[in-house]
Amino acid sequence: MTSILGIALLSAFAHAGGLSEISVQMGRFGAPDDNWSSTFSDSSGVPGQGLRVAWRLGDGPDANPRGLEIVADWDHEVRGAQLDIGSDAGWGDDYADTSVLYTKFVGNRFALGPRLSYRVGDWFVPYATAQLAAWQSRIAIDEDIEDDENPNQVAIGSLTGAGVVAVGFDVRPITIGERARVGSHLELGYGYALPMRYTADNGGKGLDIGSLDFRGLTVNWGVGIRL
Amino acid sequence: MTPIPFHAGDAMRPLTPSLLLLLTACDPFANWPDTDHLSTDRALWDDDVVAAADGMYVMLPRAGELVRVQDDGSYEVVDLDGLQPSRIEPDPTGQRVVVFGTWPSCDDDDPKIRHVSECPYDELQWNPELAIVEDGKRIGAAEMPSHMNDIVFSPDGRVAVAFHNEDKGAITETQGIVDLTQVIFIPLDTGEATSVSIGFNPSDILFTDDGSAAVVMSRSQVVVVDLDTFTKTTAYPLTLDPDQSVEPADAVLTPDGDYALVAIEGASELYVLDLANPSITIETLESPPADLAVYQDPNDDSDPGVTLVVYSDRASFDMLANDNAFNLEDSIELDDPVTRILEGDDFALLYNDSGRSLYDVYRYDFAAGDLVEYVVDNPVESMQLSESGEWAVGVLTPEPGAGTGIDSYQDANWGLAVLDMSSDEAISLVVEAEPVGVELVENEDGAFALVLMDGVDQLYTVNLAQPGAATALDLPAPPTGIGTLPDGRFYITHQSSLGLISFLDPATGDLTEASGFATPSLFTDDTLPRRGEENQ
Repeated sequence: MTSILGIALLSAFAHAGGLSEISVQMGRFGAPDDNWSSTFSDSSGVPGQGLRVAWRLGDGPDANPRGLEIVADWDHEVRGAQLDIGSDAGWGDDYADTSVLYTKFVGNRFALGPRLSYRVGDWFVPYATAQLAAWQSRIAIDEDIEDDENPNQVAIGSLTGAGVVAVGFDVRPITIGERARVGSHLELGYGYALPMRYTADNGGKGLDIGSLDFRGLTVNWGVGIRL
Repeated sequence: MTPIPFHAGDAMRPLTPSLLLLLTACDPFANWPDTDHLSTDRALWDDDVVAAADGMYVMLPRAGELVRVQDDGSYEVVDLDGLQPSRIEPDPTGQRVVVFGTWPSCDDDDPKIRHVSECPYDELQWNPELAIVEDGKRIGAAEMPSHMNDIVFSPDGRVAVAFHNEDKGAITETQGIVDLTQVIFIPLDTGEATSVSIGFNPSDILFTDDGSAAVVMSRSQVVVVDLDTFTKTTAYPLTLDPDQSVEPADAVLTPDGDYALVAIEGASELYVLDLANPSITIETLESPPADLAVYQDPNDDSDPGVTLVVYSDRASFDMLANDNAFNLEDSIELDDPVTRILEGDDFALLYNDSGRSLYDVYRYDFAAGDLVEYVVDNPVESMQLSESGEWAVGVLTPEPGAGTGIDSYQDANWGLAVLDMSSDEAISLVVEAEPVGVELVENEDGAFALVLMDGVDQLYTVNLAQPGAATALDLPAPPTGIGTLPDGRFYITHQSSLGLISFLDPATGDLTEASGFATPSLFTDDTLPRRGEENQ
């Protein structure tokens, strides 16, 4: 699924003028929420992989060391857990010992914002960026992933907004052809997402069952082509 | 700068919209990732559910919530104002549910503290409370001492009485001051609780039929409480020696409500308390009673009736005429001792549930004075009568190694006994696994037992007139229990992490399901409730 969406995204963006970067990247968005760490993952962050494309506004890097670009990120997150239900499950130890749930979080975060950079020397480019994001997710819960007919399969979607500010640097040591370079970026920042609320389909009546809160340190590392 | 051509994009362009559509429609229950391994001690839901007129009430221990589940599969979270339920009970009318629980408060007034996890450990309090819920809404609440763990209701459902029942769990934590003589009376219309000190360790509470008084047993004392004023009207000491303690074991009221008969733990004395003209008479029995029951002629409301007494160590039972004298009639001899009495309209069914290798069940007809003996093949664990009293069905426990050949097969397995009160026949069936629930149904088609077994995802319907002809209905998951709904249907709880209850219409055999109602347990909220209201 990741590759399909990535190709689609590239297909859309590659036709815009002024393209300056296409990268694949991986990263992490902070998730200090107990509901996340107790139900979906034992980590305090949401790991993701995706794509980054950027468009240059104004002169190219050869003419001016200062650069202003528009950066578009797509990050795809998949995380899940096997949740063992404990000993006070209420119907005796035998069943409690084997009672499990499978949980899955699938997210797609689309971010867009400016990136201000300053080239130092020929290949080192520190930068700062701020992005606003739309973050779509779906959680899935399944009692028995081997049985598609079991009555307790629950999937709930959500959409929220988020923002990220980050600083980082880009290194572009390898030149390909006349202008293209192979580059790699690493950035650290702070991200904040509005609560990601989940409303269960409840016999036709929606029921707000809770939310996941994502915020904190963001990390991104990627590699790609600079133009 | 001229962008490099990207021909792959051209090729993909016509496909992009359809691919995006495909993405949104993909199966969310496929492609599970390599998972982390997490665990939770607290269940997402508790299958000890309560059926009320307005739906099923289910506790969600992990979330500390209560949900109301409907038979159409919908559910809603009941707003208990932060109360985390630990026990729920329906009132006798089925209209209301009372909820035991605690709610967290933080003695630190720092306004930055908004969550339980932010409150210093020493400042965090868990406040016990009893909430009254009607139609999915909290309509009242009463502060409740933390050691209260049991509740009973007056027959009209007007008053709830909370007390500490040692049989339902020992006190594990002392919060504030604990009064072990305390009983709390709560009129459910107002929720205004009244605490009454009764006697040490209240153990059992009886109500007069008209709901005007409660008779409360406690160590060495029985107290009558007026249910209009919640004041003690009479106290009956069970011993005159303060150094001696007397523990009530069982008690019954006579049909006219004028007398309470109280059996004493380990003693052969039966205390007869005159509630109309306070006094105590002591009847001496042959042994300590194992069970008491009162019989009244169903066609004569003025009949004072008789009180039956059975003994675990004597193969006989006694009857006392409920007249002023309470004289013991001649004992009626049995082949084996019995420990339990089931009351029919005009008969009593006597059986032994002590686990001993005893197989006799007796029916005693009061009008004729006849005694009928039934023999079942394994010891009886429990027994119930059909509504008409024409059938009795018992659960039989295995006793491995007790027989040989075909007998050993029957002995080694769980069983079901079907007793026909009209033909006096008893049939013992062998069942696949331990029954987790048995309910009896009578309709124009006959009488049936609905049998659920541990780990077996089928409901067996046993035609009591032809017990061998059982039919099976597939269940969505192995059951954990069965109960009746106020409208006569049945509910079945199932082994399920995320919640599963089936609703069975015995008339049509239709089975509908409500599932997923424990989903809110995946998200917990530790926001401190009632912040700023704690001291108001």
